[in-house]
Amino acid sequence: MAKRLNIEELLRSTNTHPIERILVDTNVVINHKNPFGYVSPAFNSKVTRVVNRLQQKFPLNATLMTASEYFRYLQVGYYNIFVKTQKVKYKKYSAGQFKRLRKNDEEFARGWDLRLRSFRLTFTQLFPPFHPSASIFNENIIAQFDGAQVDFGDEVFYQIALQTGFPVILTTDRDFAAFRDDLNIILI
Amino acid sequence: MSNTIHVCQLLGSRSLLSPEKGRQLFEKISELLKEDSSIVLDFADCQYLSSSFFNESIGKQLIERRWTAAELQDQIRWENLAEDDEVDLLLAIENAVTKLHLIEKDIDPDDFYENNLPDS
Repeated sequence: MAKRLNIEELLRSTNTHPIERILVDTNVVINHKNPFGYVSPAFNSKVTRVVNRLQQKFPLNATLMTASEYFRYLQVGYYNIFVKTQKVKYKKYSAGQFKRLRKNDEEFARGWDLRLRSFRLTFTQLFPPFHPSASIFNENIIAQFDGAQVDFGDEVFYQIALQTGFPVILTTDRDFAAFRDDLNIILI
Repeated sequence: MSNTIHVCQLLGSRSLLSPEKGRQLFEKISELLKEDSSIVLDFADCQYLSSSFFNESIGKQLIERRWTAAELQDQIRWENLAEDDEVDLLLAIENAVTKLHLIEKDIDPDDFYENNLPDS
């Protein structure tokens, strides 16, 4: 089982803590940024408080996985909400439909640009990207992956975390507890 | 005429994360709007702001008054917000417009989002 770190103890500890960075899971970004205003106010406020407090002490980084999962969430969510609330003939989401609306519908483009601006700020200022020096996309990892406990995205995220000196993932997803004890998690 | 609200001073904190703080600001804005004047929200010295805070304080004004985004921005302006916080505030307004649209069509926003947002 992954080791669960206590937020209060982490914040109380002296600067000698071995954590070099904390990797932020996609669900933390969603619950913190709340891009569609759907997250419960109490949980959004709780996640935001944790992010702000940890950020005062440790670098919080995103990975390519985090950014691409969050982007997909934004893109599909924004498309679905727009076409079902505006006078647009509904067609199931596809990259082509999205591009067509972006090109031809001024209101769609304006709302999307605002979300894109938020996306850029989130992954340049708030959670800048962490790039592992070693490739985590290799035959061994794919051959060993069985998908029994976690999905492939979580497995890759775990492998990226292992590239840091003291692997820590900040998440709201209890599934991360299923990883081996070489991983530390901060569960909100 | 416009009234300026010094937000952090009014709410007694530089950290405005909770929906309760948002509701306090909502009440103050509602009170001043009765005086038939526009409002300037001054966020000087505010350090931490959350999406819920903006939803509760400003997004809900739009929903309760059945305003458009342009009508809201005619009545309520803001200053001294960092770029990322301003984007969060603009998103809160956009999201309130969508919620109002759903409410007017008798659709429960929570059910709607549950069924239309991808799994996270």
